[in-house]
Amino acid sequence: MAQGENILKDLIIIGGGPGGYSAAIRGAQRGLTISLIEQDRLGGTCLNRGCIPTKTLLHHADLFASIKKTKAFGIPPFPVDLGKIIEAKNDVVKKVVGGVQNILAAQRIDVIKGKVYFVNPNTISVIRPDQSREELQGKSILIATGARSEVDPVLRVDGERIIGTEEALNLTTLPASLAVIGGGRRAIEFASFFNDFGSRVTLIEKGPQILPRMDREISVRMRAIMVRQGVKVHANTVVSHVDPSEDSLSLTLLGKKGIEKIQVEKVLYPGERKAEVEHLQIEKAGIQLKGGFVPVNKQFETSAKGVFAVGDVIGQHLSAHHALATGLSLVDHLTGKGISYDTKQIPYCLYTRPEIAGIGMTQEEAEKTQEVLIGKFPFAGAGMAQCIGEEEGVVKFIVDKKYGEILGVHILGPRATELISLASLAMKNELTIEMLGSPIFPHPSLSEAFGEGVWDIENEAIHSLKNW
Amino acid sequence: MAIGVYLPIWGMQMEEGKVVKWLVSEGDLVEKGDPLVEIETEKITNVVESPDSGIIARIIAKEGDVIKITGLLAVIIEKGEDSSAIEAVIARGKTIVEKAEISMMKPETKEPLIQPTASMEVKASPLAKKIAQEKGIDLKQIKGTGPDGRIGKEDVLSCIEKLATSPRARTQKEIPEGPDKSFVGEIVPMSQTRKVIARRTLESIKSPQGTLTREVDLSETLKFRKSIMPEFEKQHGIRLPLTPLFVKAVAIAVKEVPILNSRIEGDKIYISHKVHAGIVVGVKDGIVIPVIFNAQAKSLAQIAREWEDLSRRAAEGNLRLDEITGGTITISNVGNAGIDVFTPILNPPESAVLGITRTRKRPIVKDGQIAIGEMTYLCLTGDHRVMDAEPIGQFLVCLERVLQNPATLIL
Repeated sequence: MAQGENILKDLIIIGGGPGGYSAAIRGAQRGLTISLIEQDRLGGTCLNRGCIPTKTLLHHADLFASIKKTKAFGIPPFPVDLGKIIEAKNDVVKKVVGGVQNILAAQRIDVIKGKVYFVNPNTISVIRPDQSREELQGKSILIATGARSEVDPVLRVDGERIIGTEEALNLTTLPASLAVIGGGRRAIEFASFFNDFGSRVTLIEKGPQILPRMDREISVRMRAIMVRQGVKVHANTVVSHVDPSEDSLSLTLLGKKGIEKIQVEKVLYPGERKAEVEHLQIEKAGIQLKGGFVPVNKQFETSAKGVFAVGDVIGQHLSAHHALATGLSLVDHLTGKGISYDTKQIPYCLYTRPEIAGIGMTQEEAEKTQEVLIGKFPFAGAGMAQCIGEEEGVVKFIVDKKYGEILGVHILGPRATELISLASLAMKNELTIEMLGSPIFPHPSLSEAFGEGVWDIENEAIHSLKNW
Repeated sequence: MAIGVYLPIWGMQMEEGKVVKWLVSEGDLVEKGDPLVEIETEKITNVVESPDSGIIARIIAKEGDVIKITGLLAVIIEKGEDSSAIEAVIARGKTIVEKAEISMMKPETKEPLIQPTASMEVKASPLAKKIAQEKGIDLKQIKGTGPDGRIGKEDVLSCIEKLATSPRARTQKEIPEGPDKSFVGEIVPMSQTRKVIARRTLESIKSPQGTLTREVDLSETLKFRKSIMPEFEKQHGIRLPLTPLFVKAVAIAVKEVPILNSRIEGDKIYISHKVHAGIVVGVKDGIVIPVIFNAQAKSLAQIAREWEDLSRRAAEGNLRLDEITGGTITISNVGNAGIDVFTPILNPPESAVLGITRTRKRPIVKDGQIAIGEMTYLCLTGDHRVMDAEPIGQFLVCLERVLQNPATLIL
């Protein structure tokens, strides 16, 4: 016990990402005494290496593509200064991280910088930057250390030619050609970004479908859009060999059609995400990883009594809003309120062009358990989508036939990530389709597509051709 | 309007509460929600809040009084009301208690499916309403788990499931509603005591138990008691019944065979070095088991004094919760009932119970001669998870040795 006041805190939080800091703030609002330990910068993956930086970049890509396709201004082709965009992104990151810092300070939360490891189930040791050590005990301990990318034996990320997402966020010159490995959410977003700025992008997915966990129709439509935008998509394909030559990489692709070789300047490999528990020595707390993540019960408690985990480190759904929701729910539990967190109602969002967002069951999942009705409306039928020149995409409803319960909503199209909250609200409050079709949606607005999608369940959409 | 402040029901087991301290006095102005009085129950101490704003006109229950649930504690009046209003509330208060006592006798359901909602508006999601309507379920009968008690889909579904599987629903199908016409006899509601005994004994038989019996000659014990009785009475002012002798004998035997003084927790056996001996006492409509704590460290006289006090208060129904919980081993003496042999059942979480039966003069063979023995049977039940027959047998042998050398009891 080298330094610091060693008062028994109500909650010690390991990790300052959305899961950790939201739990800290809500906990402090409810009167808990809290220490939050972060080894790097506050904000976690989301603020520093994930959501916020990628969305800033994708916004610029979207802006660039919009200007390019808007004929009205007669703007001639113009170069992209990726360095400037990265600078803008860094500014945004700095601002939001500073914001979190200020909020934590305003709540008088004890923020400690240092590395953490478990000594036993209710004691942790912190190694501060000056190498001093301190043991801390809390009534409860929260692991909110997030996730990290797994190392792949074939695609060894070197940070130069084979890069991960973190390097991709800081490239100052645009690669002429880029292979993106995987068809998951992060891979698709980066493919969309580099393709929009003019890199020749090849997407390599080992399964038959990109975005494999998504509603199949949405994923198929997205693939078609990406191909049209210029992305080369190889499904059912794996990279069996990487051969670096002087100024490029030669990839050997093993697909259904056989072996193919492609040359690219860089490879982007987001990698599989697994719990970030390095150095944490969770085994000292008696915790064993399961499938690469920390297993928890419904109250987010690990196998060690009084040790909880939220966010990416528990797997389930890797996203900042999942981390935030689970962090807040944990505080609800610790302060004696019921947990309202529902794993079935976590939205997912992709900030591609166009955007994708969804919540609840896919059509394929729903049809396995019950009789369903489908309602769909194309954005092309919404006046506002025409106005802004983004008529590509669809709103899709999956509804239980018997009671009209909304089982899932999936949106591909402009502002999908905003529109999806209408569905979240409706599903959380168990609104049935009758209720959802009755409000007046303003005209013109993109939300009209949402209302029309509901009407289409009964084949009563107004601005839609039959069997489009 | 004048209103009464009544003792709330804070739990299913609560029957009465003791007025600890009044926080207001007669004549005080109070607001709705103001703390009025501290009440102590078997389990908790809690504060009764003012049901309305007004003036404390009369304090009915004085500090130290024990009041039955829903009993009248005080009367609150509005400004300008006179004593007739107070008297009216007091008169009403009496009938409320009678009604509450009758209603408390109704068999309790553990988790009420049906919540009294009166004229409260039902909050339910559109989906929940739709499912309830289709299934013919009255939403007023469902307790919502959502914010503010809002009823959601899951609440309706779990209600449907409960209705389908509850025994009530099943009997309703088999027997038409209303009293069974073919039953000739009396239907008696279970008293609180019987309910507790029902629950505890049901819990007990979940463990595998076996009883071993040994015939023991108590001649020496009785002789010993008789010989010390006059001096004992003179010194301690009380008689010496047999029970304290048995308690002491058990405490000595535990020292030799400690496993009988144990309990299971998880996958561990906790063998206690302290002997907290529970003794079964018959009371109106059931039994209670007051405990003599640390019997291993107490003299025979101390045990006798405590036993005198506990048994008297048990008969009066005046035992505290802490006096009837925390035993490590139990003694049940059914000698007065004229029983020869029985199989006592465990008092969970304890692992052993000693049954003592009536003592009779019987011919026995002693030193090759026919003699008269004061014979009894000791019936000792053990938890088979904790022990096999051997320690039970050893314990009985040890008891016999002590009882036949009763000087050991005062060593």
